Amino acid sequence: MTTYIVGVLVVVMIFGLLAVSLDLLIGYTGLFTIVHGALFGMGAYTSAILAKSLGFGFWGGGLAALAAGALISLLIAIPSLRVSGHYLVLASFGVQEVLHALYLNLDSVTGGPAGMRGIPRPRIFGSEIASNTAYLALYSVLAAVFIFFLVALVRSPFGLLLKAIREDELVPQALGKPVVALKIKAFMVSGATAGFAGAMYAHYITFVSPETFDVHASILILSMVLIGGMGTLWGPFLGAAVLTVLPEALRFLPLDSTTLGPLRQVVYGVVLVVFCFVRPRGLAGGRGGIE
Amino acid sequence: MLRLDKLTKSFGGLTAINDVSITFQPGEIVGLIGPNGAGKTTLFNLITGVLPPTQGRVFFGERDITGMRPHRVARLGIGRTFQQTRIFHDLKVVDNVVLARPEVNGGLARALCTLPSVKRAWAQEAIAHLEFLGLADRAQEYGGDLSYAEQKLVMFACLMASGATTLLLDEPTAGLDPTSHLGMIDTVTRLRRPGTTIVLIEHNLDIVRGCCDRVVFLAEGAVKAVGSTDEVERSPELRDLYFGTGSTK
Repeated sequence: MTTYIVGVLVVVMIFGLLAVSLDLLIGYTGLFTIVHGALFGMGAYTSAILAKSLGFGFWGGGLAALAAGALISLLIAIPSLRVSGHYLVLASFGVQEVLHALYLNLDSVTGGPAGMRGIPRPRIFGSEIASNTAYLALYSVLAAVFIFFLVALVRSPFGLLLKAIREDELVPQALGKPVVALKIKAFMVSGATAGFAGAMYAHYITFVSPETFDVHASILILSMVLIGGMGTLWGPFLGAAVLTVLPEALRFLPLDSTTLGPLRQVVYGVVLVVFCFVRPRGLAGGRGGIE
Repeated sequence: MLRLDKLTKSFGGLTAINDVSITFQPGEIVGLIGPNGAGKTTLFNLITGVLPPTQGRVFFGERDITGMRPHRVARLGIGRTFQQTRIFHDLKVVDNVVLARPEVNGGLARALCTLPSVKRAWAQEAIAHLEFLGLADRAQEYGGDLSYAEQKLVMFACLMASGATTLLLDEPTAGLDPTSHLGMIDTVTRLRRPGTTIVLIEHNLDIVRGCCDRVVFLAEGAVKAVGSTDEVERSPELRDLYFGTGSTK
């Protein structure tokens, strides 16, 4: 039972990091996208493929996943930031679908629908991370490092500019700020973090398959940000905890798995709708985001 | 020196700016007057790179800045305010001003390495600018909580922090009550520095008379008269437009 609870907390760390990285885009920069699930997958597949074909470990794979997340974000950002608002949502959704289709159909690289198994566990100082407790220790340190970096970023003059762009794009330009470059950088930092979270996931579950990184994953991460409170960083982390723990808690209801699956979806839906009415600014009640 | 050379801007069949050539000298305050739709704001948009001109060139010093992107134009030292107040409502007033500094340029590594002491110094300087405009006590409030007139002054503080040497002010009195108008003459005059050019779009001739060295009268996209306030006020075109045909004295 303890192992199980600790295991849920490991997943909270991974999704917490994802939600926080998406908050940098949505909450701080005002860029509403639905592609985080695919970016998460990009990192997971990158580290999984490198581990299986080149014998990379967690650390090498993690760095590669970080780079892959940043690179794919750059490729998405350059054309899609020409559009904004609703169009950016659509464009990013399109990329989400394309990437998911690639994960699903590039059988020779990604293993297709069957996915990839046997991804090695992380090693630290020569010993393998095997227990959930060890995972929790390692992953909470890693999540803390990334979150510390993101907090430093949003409190820096760079973060000030992101918040400015969120409100108005013309004025920062009139003050000499390179608005497009700023958005691309925010996108890349967010994507790199999501990519690394993907590597954490792949090396924890030791198995990756396409359905983990479909549009539902993107929507789940988005819900974590909205429920937690945009533009606060810690709020989305809390949102990730709620949306990870709540469905797990449902497991203990005396229901069979055919009822349980749909019931989870219902719970997500109800939680989202309730939050929209009762606490539109999320648990943390941030000042940021798009209204 | 800011020089516009035969600048023309057409929107489809409509010519908003027609063959305009003006030179703004360092140190002077120039009033840009004219009826609504004369093309005053369009002229600012052409100078700052928001709109590309159909024909003609814009020179800043010796440099041809025609078609340059807005943030690059701004970095050369051309700052502007907007007719509506446009400050950041969700940022503190002091942060609105700090943000305008040229050092806050979007460099990631540099931003992360900015020492707290440096940030404090920036904030202090920002508060000094706000103090100059009589707003020091509002520094820690959110931009959106300030009154309309105060927000307009914050835009000036941003221009001061940006280090711009050419200030394009788009109707700073628009939307303000008449009692604030006199204060605006004072504010604009105080922004004058040796070497700084100020171009002021204004409808209120009292304000133009109060602070401008020279006036450019624009109508239907073309320069109708240039000269001292008195000279331009005597021009028949202006009399026609402002007071109706036949009003001569």
